[in-house]
Amino acid sequence: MLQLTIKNINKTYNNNIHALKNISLDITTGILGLLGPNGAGKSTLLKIISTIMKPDSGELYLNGVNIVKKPNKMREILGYLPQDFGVYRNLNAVEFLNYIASLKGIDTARSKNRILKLLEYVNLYEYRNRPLSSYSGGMLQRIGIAQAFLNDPKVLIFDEPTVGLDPEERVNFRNMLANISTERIIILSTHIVSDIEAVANKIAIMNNGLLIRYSTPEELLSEISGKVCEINISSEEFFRNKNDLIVSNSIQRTDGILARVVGNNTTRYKGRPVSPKLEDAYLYLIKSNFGD
Amino acid sequence: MKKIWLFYNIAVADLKERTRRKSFLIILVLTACMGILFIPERGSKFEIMDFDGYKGVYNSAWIGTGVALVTSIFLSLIGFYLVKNAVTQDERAGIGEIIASSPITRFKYCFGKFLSNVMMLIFIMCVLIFISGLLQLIRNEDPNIKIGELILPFLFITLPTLIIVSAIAIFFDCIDLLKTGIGSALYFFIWIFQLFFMSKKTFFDIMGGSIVISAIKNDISLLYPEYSGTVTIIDIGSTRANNLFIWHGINWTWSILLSRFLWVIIAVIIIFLSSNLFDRFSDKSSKLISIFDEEHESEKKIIMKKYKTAEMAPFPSELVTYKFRFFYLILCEIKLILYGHSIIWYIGFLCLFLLSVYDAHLLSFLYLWTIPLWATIGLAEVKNNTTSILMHTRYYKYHQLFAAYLGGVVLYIFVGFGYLIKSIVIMRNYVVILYVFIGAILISSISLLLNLWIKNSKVFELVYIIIWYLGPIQKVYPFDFIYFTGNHGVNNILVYILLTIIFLIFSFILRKNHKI
Repeated sequence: MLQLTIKNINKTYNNNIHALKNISLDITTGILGLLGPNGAGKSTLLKIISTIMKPDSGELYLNGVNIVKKPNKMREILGYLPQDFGVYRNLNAVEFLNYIASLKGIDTARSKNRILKLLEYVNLYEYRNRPLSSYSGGMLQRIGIAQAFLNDPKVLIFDEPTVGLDPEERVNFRNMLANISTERIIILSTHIVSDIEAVANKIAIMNNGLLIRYSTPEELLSEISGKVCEINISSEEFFRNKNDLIVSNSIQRTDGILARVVGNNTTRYKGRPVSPKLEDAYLYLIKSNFGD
Repeated sequence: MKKIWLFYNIAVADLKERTRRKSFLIILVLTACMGILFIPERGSKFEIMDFDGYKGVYNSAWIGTGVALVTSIFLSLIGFYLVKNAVTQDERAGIGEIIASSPITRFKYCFGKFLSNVMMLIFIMCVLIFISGLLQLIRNEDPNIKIGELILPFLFITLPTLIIVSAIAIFFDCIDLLKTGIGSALYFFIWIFQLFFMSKKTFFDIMGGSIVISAIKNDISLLYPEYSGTVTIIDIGSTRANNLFIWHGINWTWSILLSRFLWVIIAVIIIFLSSNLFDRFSDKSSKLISIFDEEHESEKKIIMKKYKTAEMAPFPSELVTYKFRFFYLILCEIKLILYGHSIIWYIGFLCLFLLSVYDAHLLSFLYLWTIPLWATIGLAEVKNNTTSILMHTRYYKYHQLFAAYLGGVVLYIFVGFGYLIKSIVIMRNYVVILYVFIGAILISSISLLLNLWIKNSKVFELVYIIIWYLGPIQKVYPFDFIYFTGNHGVNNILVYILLTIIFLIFSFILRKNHKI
């Protein structure tokens, strides 16, 4: 059983942006979905966990070992896919993965079979000898995923992994995560709620450098139970009240707008109550913590 | 009026972007140091404009003309490397497609970039004008500063040179083959060739040297009929006497001004040609330079057609074994340095490599041709944006850096291999092994440090070309680490080794403190 403990992490950038404010989390095996708008501090937190950035204060423990002081303990079992990454475009997939494998300290003389299997796994085996410059964005994203799996990692960190993947690939990726999550810690950062809705055991929501919620999806949904409804509203009224409403979806119709709204006072619009979704909970929490 | 405003906007935006880089600040500091060097104290070993011992008193005319000429010579070399890649930069920054989709014409875009180049070089020229005035006061031979005599040589000698260099830089940047390291090497050869026109009164003297030299020569001949007619623009290790005379500057005739203005017109013509060659960041241009790129493009189309998402295979269950193989990492780094150059570069390399076995002097050109190799050391991650994907790996921080360095060392030795074999087998000159090795460890360490520090290869290319010009080509022995001058002693070798160690230590400190 793996245990990753984050204690009172703070990080301020040189331009005085307080990216992380006293973040504490206890993470165990399974999938943690990290949600938050752009600039919430998700990527900074992931960089700190993946040891490529040091916090200003606070501690991180992996099964009791302080990984701020001993980053190699984490690196040995870590697979990390950054949000924005490049590849060596003149190398082919096998050469590139071999290069990363050598940097991870994997015995490159014995890793060939694993690399080929991984390429099969991410459905790129057929194109293994082509230069990466001939790959599409989605294929490069799969190369990124493959490199994260090279060392059979026990901790996997994915920062916006579904960017560049088409809808079918996104479904495949989610299924893959669900299949391998039993003995690993998987942290999946995204601002696309549907990417983690079906697979995450725990959800952490961040905004403005703060951790505003850390709970199970069920707890989040029960929190907004009775606060979500669908309303039929005229365009004029919709735009007049837009600032008061938290709209998670809207469809333009001939007689106005059919809007899915979440909030404490939605009853005044005489809407039809509907079962809440994770996206409703996320929007509700983000909008209500906007001023923090 | 609207057009001028557009040119101005493009130029200023580009200028702001480029002058806010760390490399520009370093260049300004180096320029200031260079300016001080151009006006040496009397009796020092370094002299500029020595006419067989006859030298002008440090007044505004002499200082202005001397510094303007030397600036014209050096900025026509250094300036090119400073301002090149103005167009490529937009491509790399990812704004090429935005520009391509905007209504701006190719000429307006190229002209804007050209103006930015000119403004950047004028900025550097102004620093040198300021330093010249300051040093006239410090040297105190004639503290009376005459603005016209000090500035006019810069305007009529240096400025047209800078304008033509700026235009050539845009031209090189619009042709895919020339925007690579091949262009850097080719421009250096053109510059060397251009130096031959300096002493001849010919239209082809871009740098304006013949105007200055003939004006001063005439004046000295009138004053001192015994003057031999010898001229040395830059004299390192000077032992000549100081026969000082008062010189009042060049008589700026209409024919001189016209001959210089002609270069401005030629610059505009070059920009016009460049704009016709500029591909507006279209992919089609790749067919001009690299058959590899062309292959990639066609492969991409095939793959995109064939590629379909499918069910994933089972997750690999092989046991992962750990064993760090440093030599394998060095091999990977060598691949990264060697791959991705155009086919013409590889052919040029092969030809020069074979020719250097027969004629050792071609080794200088071979090592200049291989600038693109050394310019990659320590920079592959930045160029390919792979830092974020590599940083979390266990052996990235120091091992990868050292492997990249050693990759450079191995390749440097490989480049000189033909020369080495010939020296050892035929000439029985074993000491060459040592000097090629010294060159390998020194150049790779300079490259590593500068590339890591500046995060682009421009400054390294500049330094490398200056070192090769002064050392192996001009045979100024402290720079001649390849032993063409035959002046080396054990002390020099120790200095090179010490410098290598210092550069490496600084490189590792930079990597240690590297943050993303």
